[in-house]
Amino acid sequence: MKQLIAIAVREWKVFFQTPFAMVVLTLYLVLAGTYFYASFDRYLTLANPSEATTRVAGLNVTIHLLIPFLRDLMSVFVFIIPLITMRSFAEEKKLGTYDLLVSYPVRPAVILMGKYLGSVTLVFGLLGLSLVYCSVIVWKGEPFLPQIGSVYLGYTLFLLFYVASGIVVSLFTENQIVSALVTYAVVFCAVVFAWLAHVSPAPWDRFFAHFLFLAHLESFRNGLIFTGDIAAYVTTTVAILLVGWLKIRRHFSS
Amino acid sequence: MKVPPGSITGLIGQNGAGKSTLLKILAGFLVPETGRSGGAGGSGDDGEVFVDGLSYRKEPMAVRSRIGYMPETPLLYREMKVVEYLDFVGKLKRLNKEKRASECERLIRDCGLGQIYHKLIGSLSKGNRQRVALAQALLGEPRVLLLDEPTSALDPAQAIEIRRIIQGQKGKPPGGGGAVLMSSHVLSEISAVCDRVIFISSGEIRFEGSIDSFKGKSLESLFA
Repeated sequence: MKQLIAIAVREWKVFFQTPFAMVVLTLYLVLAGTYFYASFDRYLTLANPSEATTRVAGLNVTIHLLIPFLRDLMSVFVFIIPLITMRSFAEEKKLGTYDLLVSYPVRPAVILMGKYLGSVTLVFGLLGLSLVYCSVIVWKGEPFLPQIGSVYLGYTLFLLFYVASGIVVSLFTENQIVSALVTYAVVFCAVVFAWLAHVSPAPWDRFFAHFLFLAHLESFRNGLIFTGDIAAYVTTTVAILLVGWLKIRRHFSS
Repeated sequence: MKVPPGSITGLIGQNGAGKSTLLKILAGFLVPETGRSGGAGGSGDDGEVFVDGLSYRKEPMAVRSRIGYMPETPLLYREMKVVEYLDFVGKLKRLNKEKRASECERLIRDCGLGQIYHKLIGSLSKGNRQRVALAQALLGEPRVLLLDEPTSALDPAQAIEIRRIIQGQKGKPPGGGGAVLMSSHVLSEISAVCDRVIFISSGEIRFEGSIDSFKGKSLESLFA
């Protein structure tokens, strides 16, 4: 456990000691703030219709303000996470420190999970910052909290999957840019799976639909928690981490 | 090959002979596919590495906890301070807090890190980074010390200082039985530090014995 925490803490230190951290944090806060402002402005327009428009029936802060804001916020995470995970193992390999890391008496799972924990907590910290916007709405309005909770559950599962993808991809390359681009591809290949799900006959359509990583979030946004959606993220995350573990384990057995 | 306990053995050969590859195998970074090797009283079977009598395949963690490895170039976390880095390595080597503190104190003294202890590794000179790399290898008093070209690219004064530290490891850890295996392609360096020598060429051992008997060999006979 001490080894795992030591590796995770080093990840945080490295992140915050570089100007890159300031760039990522600034980018996140500017985009999150802009999206919140845009969602709020859109909500006010709907709440105060002009002569040309009619008042939206059943207008509420959950569906017409927070959910659109959180949907936009996900695009920020899709963009930022590969930038955080790209240096995880790729930089160690490029600098050669990876050779030393695997020469210490640290189990492959601890090396992988230490890096994973470091990046996941950073990303959850960013997700936690978005609660500031939600708490303003909770303070001033009456959002439907279970639905907001459902969105955050979905986002947590998605981020666990996405960070795992980024970390494991960085294990296969020394180039940080390649690492980030391949991680983007992991999410954007959902487009290919969407096409495959559309054109494939049953039961393959349902099989390919399993890999629509962003589409699974829609149920959570609607306040619907399906076991299938949770299983899709959990099984894929575990499978990806298993690939990473096998990759590191190659140094430990012939 | 065999590296006897209590010895400082030099691994010599021309560039590309396989010295670094062999040390990476012994350090656990590379896994051998064929051949055999052992260290500090170990013996080997095909494709297996034994260090201190323990099999890498069967007990990879136990073997790693007995090894200190210093790679050819001091590949360290540049954004960490020396003190932070040694503490980090101590945690990875499963040392408790008291042991980490006492080890850091010993290594500051033995490796001459007093002036640079609180400096960022990235700001250190190559010689000082080499000292830090050696210190992380010595941390936890490993029974087998693997040093890959420990004085390469250092000026003569720095090289002498590093050699002094390596020679100070003879008979360590307390209780004896430890072994040092260092690679170099410079015979004078091996002669200055080691009491045994292994000469390899194209991945094969061409000579194994005392440094005195090696000096009597002609290069032609070694490469033949």
